[in-house]
Amino acid sequence: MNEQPARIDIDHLTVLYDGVPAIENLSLQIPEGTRVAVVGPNGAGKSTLFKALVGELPIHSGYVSIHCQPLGTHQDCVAYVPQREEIDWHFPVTVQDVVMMGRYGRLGWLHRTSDQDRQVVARCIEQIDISNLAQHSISDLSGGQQQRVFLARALAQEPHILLLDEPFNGVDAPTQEAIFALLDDLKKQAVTVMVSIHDLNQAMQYFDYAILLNKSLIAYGPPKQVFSSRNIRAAFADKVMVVDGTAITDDCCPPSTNKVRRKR
Amino acid sequence: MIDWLLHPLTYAFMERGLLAAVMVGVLCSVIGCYVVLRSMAFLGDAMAHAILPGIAIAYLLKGNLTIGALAAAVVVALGIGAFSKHGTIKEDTAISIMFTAALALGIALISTIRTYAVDLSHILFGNVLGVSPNDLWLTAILGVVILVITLICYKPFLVIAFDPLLASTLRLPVQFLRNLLLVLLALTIVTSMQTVGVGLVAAMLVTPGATAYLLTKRLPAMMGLAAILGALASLVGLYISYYMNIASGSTIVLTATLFFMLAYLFSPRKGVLKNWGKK
Repeated sequence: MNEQPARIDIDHLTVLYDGVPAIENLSLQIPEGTRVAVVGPNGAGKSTLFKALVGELPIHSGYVSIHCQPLGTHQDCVAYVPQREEIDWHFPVTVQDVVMMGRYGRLGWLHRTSDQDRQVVARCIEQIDISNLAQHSISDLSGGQQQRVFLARALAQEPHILLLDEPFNGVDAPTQEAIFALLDDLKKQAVTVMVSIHDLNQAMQYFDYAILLNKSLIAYGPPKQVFSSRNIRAAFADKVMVVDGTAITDDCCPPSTNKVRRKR
Repeated sequence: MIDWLLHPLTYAFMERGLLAAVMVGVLCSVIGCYVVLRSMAFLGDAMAHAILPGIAIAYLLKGNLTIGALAAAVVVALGIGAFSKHGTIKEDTAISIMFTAALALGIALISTIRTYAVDLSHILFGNVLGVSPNDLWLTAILGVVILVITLICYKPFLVIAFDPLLASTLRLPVQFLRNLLLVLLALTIVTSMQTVGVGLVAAMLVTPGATAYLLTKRLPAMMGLAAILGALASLVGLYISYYMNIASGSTIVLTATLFFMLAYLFSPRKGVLKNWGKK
């Protein structure tokens, strides 16, 4: 599945959200199989970047290529795990139904699932350790379990590039560990993973690269270089406090007014 | 008892009415599941009113009413699809403007007809006893077409209802699927015009689906149960209408509402009484 290495090339990208630029003039290249933390204050354009990469938001100007091909050429190579609040958790589907949705991009015109699809789904459910929940309704799940279901669905897409939007928000410690274990697995398979994250320590510890974003690019590179107090201050402005050389940001619990809920 | 049940069927018009009502009950309830899950109830209601001018124009031109309604419904469905895409004004405002304008235009056109009070009430509240054999065939053919498309597109419709973002990620033709669902909804509304009328069709779209939603945990089960409830409500409603001499559209809708109230109170998973008992 990974015969082609994942390489994302973003060139002077501008993306609008509600008619206003949410990302401006962003240029960077992400090498194959790396793990990239995306860090920035609320409204910095982290989700917007992800949504542009999966084709949900149109590119206003600039260029994005994946495997040296324009975005969208490879139909199912990018998978996106949205923030949990964006989903109606009372929808009448089971865990297995949700994971199977990851395969829908590959179905023929009669939309029948094959034995292979079912095997992949079973394997992904197994891998993320939710086999006991497979037949449960999604409304019965805890926050951590919801996050796992979406990870399993993303795995079922067999992506080369996986985008995780705030996967650590409001999940329990075992789920956090499970996510990091999964990231290690994916690393072995040379899957490129981009994760938006608030915890700078985690970003420092577990990631090869960090993107510091506030509408435009503040810094990109190895986390140690990116998270200099000067860069942090540039990104978070007055929302940051530097104590003994450690930057502290108060940004983990965004006020509800900042959240634009998607209309369905 | 058997006599009581069979007696209405000795009239051919009653037999046709029952068949049509049951078919429409099933059809509305199945499509209605998507209406409930995607919060399109208001849209369905708007669409039902907006086909009125189509019917009126067909009537004035002495054409086929169903075809006039069909044409109007498809235009309105795609118009609303385009409206909601651009988002210059809020979607519910756009829909309200369009459907009240269409309703006004429809009434204006119908009021030029001499017998307009009777015609208008048939269109608004249905005339299930006036179903002709041709009407029945048209309902059956449209119903089968709509249900077959719904079955084939079950999975993509599920994704655009549950997680539109995933649908774009998978590069499914999201806009096409949305419009297709709107057109299916419009066709469903047209077929139900004769039994419950445009004034009450929203209830048939929403109520059985919402009842089934309270009682099931997977969409296929929800659709199946909604279909059964829709058919049952149509059947029971029509018998009540026959024996008590009440307008059939209203008895059908009130029966469906009764089912909903029962489920709302007593559903084992989501019922009000279950949570009340816990406190």
